[in-house]
Amino acid sequence: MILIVMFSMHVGIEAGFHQPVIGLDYNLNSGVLVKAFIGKEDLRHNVYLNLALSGAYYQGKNPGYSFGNYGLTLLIKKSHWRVAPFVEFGGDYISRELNKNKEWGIGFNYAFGFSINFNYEALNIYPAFYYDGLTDFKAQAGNLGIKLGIGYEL
Amino acid sequence: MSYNLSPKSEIRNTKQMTWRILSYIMLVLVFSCQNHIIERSASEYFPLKEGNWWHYANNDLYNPQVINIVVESLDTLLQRECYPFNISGEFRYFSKDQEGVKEYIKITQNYGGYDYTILQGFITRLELPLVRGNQFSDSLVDSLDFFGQWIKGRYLINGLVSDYQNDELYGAVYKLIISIFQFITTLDSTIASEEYVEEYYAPSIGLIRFKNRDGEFNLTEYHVE
Repeated sequence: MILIVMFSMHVGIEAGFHQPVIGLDYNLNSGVLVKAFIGKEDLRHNVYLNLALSGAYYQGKNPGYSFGNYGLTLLIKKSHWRVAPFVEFGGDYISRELNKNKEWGIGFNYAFGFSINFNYEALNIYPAFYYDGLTDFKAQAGNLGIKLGIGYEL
Repeated sequence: MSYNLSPKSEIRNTKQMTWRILSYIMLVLVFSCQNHIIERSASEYFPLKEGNWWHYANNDLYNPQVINIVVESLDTLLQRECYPFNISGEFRYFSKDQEGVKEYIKITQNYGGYDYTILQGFITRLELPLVRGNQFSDSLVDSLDFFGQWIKGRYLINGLVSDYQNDELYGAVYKLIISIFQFITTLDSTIASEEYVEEYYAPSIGLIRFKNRDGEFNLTEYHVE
């Protein structure tokens, strides 16, 4: 069973760039994203389900200010399409810091966009373009994102 | 040991996984609703735009006072664009840059019917974004040769973002404590003044309450674009 599960799984990493567009653009310049994921295709071979650990770090317009969100998300992505739409959602630990003074909280993270897939044997390389949103259900914030991912089918 | 790999068992596993994910999301929702970190991170706490206005009133029944603030059209002072704030007829000038809100300060002394400028410049009035615990400080120093006698002026601001509270009406409101010191020093004397102000800022509104030597004032009406 373990072998069967492992052989139908894939792992990967992603790195990207975020440009704040809603709310966060008051105080932030831009951010970088790093993500590691593990996933599996569903039984009907329709979608990939990925569980991801991610971290994004933003530098503030004020040089003493920074903002970061780190979380666990679930990604659902159409499988076997060259241009594959995806949605992603989960929870984030959010922290912000000005001159070593820190505030933190928990937020809901969501993203939607599409990736362009290039496959070579067990390797999947894809650039992706998406909107990345953060909310505490009282206010909204969001970024436009671009990332490059590499996945490997086990 | 044997494993059941039938589609039914896979479906059961998928349902379990779905429930776990939904539980995780519910947990996130519960925590998210309490802290409002996004509201604090993604809101404008000093909306600076021509036409914005705020009306304040004190709570003193015997000496009621009203203060009206209107943001006038953009002006330029010392080669810097700034917004005049018409505060019940008295003008103060504010501009915003990447580090916060700057205020134009000018200290003059009257001698023989003429006003002589001892110092002028922009000073940090608020460091943005507002983050609890942050302290900021800024000062202006200059001097004037007044017929062979030097007059020195100093203007100093210390600020502390002391706390925030989630207000039902205004959202996450930050409290600031600001101390302002002013010194004018001549060869034989020093004139000093100091003022302590408490200010409360709300997201997308700006200043909603302040306390100074004239009393405590609360926002009664506002218009912010």
